[in-house]
Amino acid sequence: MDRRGRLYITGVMLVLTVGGLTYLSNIYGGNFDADGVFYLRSSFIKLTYDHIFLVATSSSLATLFGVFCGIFVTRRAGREFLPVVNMLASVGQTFPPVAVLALAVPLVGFGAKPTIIALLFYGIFPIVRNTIAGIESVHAEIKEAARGVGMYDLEILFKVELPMAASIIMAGVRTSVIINIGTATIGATIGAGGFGAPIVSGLINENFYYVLQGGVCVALLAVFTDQLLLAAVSKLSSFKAA
Amino acid sequence: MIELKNVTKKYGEDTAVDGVSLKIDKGDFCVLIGPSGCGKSTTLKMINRLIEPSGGEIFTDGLDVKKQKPEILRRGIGYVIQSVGLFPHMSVSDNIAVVPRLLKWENSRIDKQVNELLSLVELGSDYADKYPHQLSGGEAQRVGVARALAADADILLMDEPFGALDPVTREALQKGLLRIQKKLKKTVVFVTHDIDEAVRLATKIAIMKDGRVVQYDTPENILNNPADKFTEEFIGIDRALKNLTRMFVKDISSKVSTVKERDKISDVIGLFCDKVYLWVTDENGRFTGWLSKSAKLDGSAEVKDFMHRASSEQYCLSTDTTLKDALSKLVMNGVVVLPVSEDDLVIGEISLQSILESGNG
Ligand SMILES: Nc1ncnc2c1ncn2[C@@H]1O[C@H](COP(=O)(O)OP(=O)(O)OP(=O)(O)O)[C@@H](O)[C@H]1O
Ligand SMILES: [Mg+2]
Repeated sequence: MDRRGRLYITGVMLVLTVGGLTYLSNIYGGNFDADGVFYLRSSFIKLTYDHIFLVATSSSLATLFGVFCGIFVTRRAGREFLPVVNMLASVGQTFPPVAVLALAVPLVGFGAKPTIIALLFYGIFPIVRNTIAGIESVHAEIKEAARGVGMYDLEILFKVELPMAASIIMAGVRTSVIINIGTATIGATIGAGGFGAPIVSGLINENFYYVLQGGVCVALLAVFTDQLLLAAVSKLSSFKAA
Repeated sequence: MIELKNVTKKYGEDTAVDGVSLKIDKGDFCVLIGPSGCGKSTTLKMINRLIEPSGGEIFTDGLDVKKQKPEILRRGIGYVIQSVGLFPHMSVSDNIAVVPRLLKWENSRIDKQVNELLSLVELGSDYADKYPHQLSGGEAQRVGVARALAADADILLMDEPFGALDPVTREALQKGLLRIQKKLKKTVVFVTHDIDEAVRLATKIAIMKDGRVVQYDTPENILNNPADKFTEEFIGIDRALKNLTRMFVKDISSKVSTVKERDKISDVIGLFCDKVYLWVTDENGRFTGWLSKSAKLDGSAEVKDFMHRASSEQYCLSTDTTLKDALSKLVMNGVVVLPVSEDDLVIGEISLQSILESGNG
């Protein structure tokens, strides 16, 4: 199966699962009591929307700040911060997201906001790391050639460094987004919604079906998004570095 | 025109370039040559301000480079380095179009320029959409030259552009560069390690050592009168032969009368004078062999009865052969004179004596 086929199949599976769960819980909803087989508190379409909203917001911000930060520390002006940021990027990854969540709640309260902050914090590191790696992978000769033909620093950044680093940066974004799709489930513990809601609720009520429903949805969303970003990355890396 | 006045570059305590003064006239092809680390690249890069001098002044076309914005200055100066300098994420045509785009040329003008340059460097238009990793070293270098020429800059700086190529490809590119230079008459500064390359390309050679220019002159003068022991050793003991690579058969070929195969010997015997051979051609003037002077020649017979038949590939010299190659062909055939042909027709001859005379300056 080619990449496009995998993309379509995972997409269809995701839609069928979410649609099917919504449909089934609508039909059977009335006939089950509190620990019923189908999660009922909000529809699966709403859960999907919430989950995507959490990940999309945090990942967009992480990409924005992460790429910006990676660019800054590879400029002449920001060079001195490079070792610090490099160290932070590897250490930060080991910091548990639940801890970030716990620290964010007293600052901004419950709900989506602290979850997005935690995801942003957690997801920014692979992006920073890959942005730095991508830009540093551009050979000195290429940069000298760019200076030699008369490009300004910004032109070198946008016409040479970023396009050449694009596929590596995108790989970082992909890692970050996939991690965040999984990690976003912890947001449910502080009322951020998403596929974490049935999982958390299932764990509390010892309802195996809830956990399974949430888990399958997260897994499918992750696989589908991965394929989607992979397609985007392969578009960007249609050239090979010499 | 480029002028360097007492230019110096210091790295801390170390002096990379030490008081270099050079005047390179418009249309000159100046080759900087010298051992590794003698400051050739540093000197070159100070011209387009990739490196800022610690002292001295540099002028391009009479303007002080320090008074120009570095980026603007560089857009007006073609710069070629080894093939790694192509942008790997851009197609060949985008690489060539880089500077015109920076200068905001119109698209139609850029397209036209890219096509003209591709044919100038002898790459077909089907190369336009290839990427650098799909090119051979020689092809990539041609693209590099095209990119440097793209904005019609008058000055061309080249830092060991052919250094990484095999000898055959290198020679082809040198010939191509000479042809282009003959047509465009740029002011070129060219860095190399290779004295043969320098002798072949240069109108002026600057020999550098330890950051200084030890001799700056025409290749002929440098080969004939090396300034010191260092220069003499650097250009090598075969400097007389190197000089011959700058001269061509057409420069010293002498006119000669030929005879046809069907001529009567009695009619041609007077042409010998003090010569030992007469070149024989067919009806159309193509070389077919020679007639040796000897007592046995029978005046009533035809040339073809006494001639020695030979192939033109083995014996004829074409007019654009270097004297070094001509000398080699004389030695190889063990003779003192060979015919010269142009478009297959015999137009003259060249003797060992005449090569020896021109070799001595
Ligand atoms: N950035 C730098 N910092 C310190 N020293 C340098 C720097 N760049 C060059 N040098 C020194 O300056 C000297 C001249 O270097 P340059 O690159 O001009 O030599 P070159 O003649 O081009 O040599 P090659 O033929 O090997 O390319 C060398 O001794 C080199 O070590
Ligand atoms: Mg050098």
